[in-house]
Amino acid sequence: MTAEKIIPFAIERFERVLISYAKEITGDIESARDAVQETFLRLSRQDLVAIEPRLAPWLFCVCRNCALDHRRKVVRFSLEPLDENHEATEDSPAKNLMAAEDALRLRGLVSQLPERQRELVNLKFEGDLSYKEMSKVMKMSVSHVGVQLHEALQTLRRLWNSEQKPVSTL
Amino acid sequence: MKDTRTTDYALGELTGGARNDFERELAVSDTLQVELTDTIKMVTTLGHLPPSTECFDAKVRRDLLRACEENQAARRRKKTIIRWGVPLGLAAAASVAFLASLLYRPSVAELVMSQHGEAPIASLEELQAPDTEPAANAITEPAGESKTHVEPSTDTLANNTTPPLKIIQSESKSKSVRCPTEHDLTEQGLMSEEIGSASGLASQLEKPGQTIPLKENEMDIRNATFGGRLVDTKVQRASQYSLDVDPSGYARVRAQILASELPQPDSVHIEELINAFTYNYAEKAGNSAFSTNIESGLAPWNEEHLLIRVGIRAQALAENVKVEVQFNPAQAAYFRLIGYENQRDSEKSIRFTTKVASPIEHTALYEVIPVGKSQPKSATKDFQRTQAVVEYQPVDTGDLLTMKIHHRPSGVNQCQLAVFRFENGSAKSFDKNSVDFRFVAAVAAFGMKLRHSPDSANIAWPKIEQIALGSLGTDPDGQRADFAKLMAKASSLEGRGISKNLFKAPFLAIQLIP
Repeated sequence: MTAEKIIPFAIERFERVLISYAKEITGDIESARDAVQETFLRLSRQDLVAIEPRLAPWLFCVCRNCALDHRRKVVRFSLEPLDENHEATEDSPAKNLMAAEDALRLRGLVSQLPERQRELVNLKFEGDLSYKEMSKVMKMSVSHVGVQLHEALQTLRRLWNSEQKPVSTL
Repeated sequence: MKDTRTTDYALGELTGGARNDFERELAVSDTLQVELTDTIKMVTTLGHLPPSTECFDAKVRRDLLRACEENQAARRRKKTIIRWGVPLGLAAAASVAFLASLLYRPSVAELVMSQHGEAPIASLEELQAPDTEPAANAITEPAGESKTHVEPSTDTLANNTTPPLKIIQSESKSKSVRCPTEHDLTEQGLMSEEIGSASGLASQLEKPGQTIPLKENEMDIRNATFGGRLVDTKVQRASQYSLDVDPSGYARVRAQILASELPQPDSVHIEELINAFTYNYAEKAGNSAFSTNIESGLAPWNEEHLLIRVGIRAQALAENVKVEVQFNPAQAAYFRLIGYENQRDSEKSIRFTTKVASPIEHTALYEVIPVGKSQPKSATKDFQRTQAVVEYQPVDTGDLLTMKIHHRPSGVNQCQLAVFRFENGSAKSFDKNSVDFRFVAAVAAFGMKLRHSPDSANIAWPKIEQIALGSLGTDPDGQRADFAKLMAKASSLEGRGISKNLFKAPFLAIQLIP
């Protein structure tokens, strides 16, 4: 890809997933949008051709930092708790891919995971990152990524089944 | 160690021999097969969750793309200059200097022109000093007053996308204000008042924090003020800055210093360091969404200069927030916004408009050279250059500065302007200032040291450390004490940097001798 096309491509491809990822961290959509905007601006100051091979992890990594900054800002300045309206309570246009109700339920379960595991699930399933890429974004070892994701999936399966709806019926 | 192989396998992360081993085990274990099937189903389901619908507004996306493209263009230009400009420039400069030394004799006329600044307008661009601020401004008074004031522009940062500017005759009492040409007014600023008259908006408002409605189309500010530069108030009295600073800046600097490495001077953003700390700002007063906390004292690095801390606390929610500080030229001869050196032109429209989505505090620092104090060398030159452009009689209102916050409170359609005035009291000695003031001064001085700012040469590391240690306050999270330690480390690193260079050669020599 030529350098000129990288940013439009990056925005097209990653805008929504990054906003969704950042929102998990910041807790509110406006800060998430700001964090993603900052991410793309930072990208635009880089040597794009050099970054292109590792574009996805780079974007998630920077987005994560920006979102954490926003969250720190909110925590520091606000006496109010973070917005806890996670996606499970929001409308979801899920009809095409899976039953809307199931999607909401599963998102609800994901939101109950510990923060790191939730982030890893997002990086894996929304960002499509490999263990190695995730390890760079999350600044943890590759094996630790594996352990955390494994635990996340175990928890999700357990929670799902405990609601008397086995995964196999999905 | 936990057996994560089912997950690794389901996610395609199990490779090589480990994968073969796992598959062999899988073939003979029913439990493993059930677990894997279940895991794969969960993985598939998670992979098919409907994508998020949250995205940018179309306009934001367009602005973002444009800002990104401009950044990239700037990057390419910089690269080209470095690759070709430096060697060519050096060669050209050498030849020109040589030829000039042979040929040039200044004429009397030229000397007179440079003294009185009667430079032709066409050369303004060439004369554009980096330290002069863009000043193309026109404002329609929002509080029912219909006069429009025009400030002459020294701005050459043309932006073709800016809407055309309507110019109405200035009512300024200034002696000789050069009317702006269309060329000058390529960027529109909307927050400045008339020049040369003290009957400004601020003086019409008596109550601090009083807000008045503004029209929506008056909120588009393209006139950025860049920080870090000394600005002559005779040329530009208004300064704008964004409330949006990157709070991770301090963490980065801290991490680098803790890793025994001094950060690159340019990478240190003083506004980020300042805003990494919490200060005890008073609650808001009145019905305004904003309260300000302004304090002045003597700058610890130069006792002839004032240091002004402008604290803002935004408690209700607001959009389109823009902040401007206007200095009174009768009191302040020069000002410098500390930090913000890296505010980028291409991101102005994004950065200068802040959305306050949650309660925030923001602190900005100005260094002010009061009228009557010795003129800085660096500013003298620019003052002479621009002397012809603006000339007026300041009228002393006693105020040092007026602060304006344009904003639109959430849920309200009309934009409002909150105005705060700050009188120039007698400057106390630095020790008499509040704990927060002294601490923030130490943070600024620390940043200036790291940036190798020339002014910071007047203050030694131990002095800054002493100020910080003397202004820890209650420090509930130990952040300030940590800062003081960090400073000690930075100071030792800088010392080491010098000694390392000094002893480099002998050290190498010793190594080479068997």
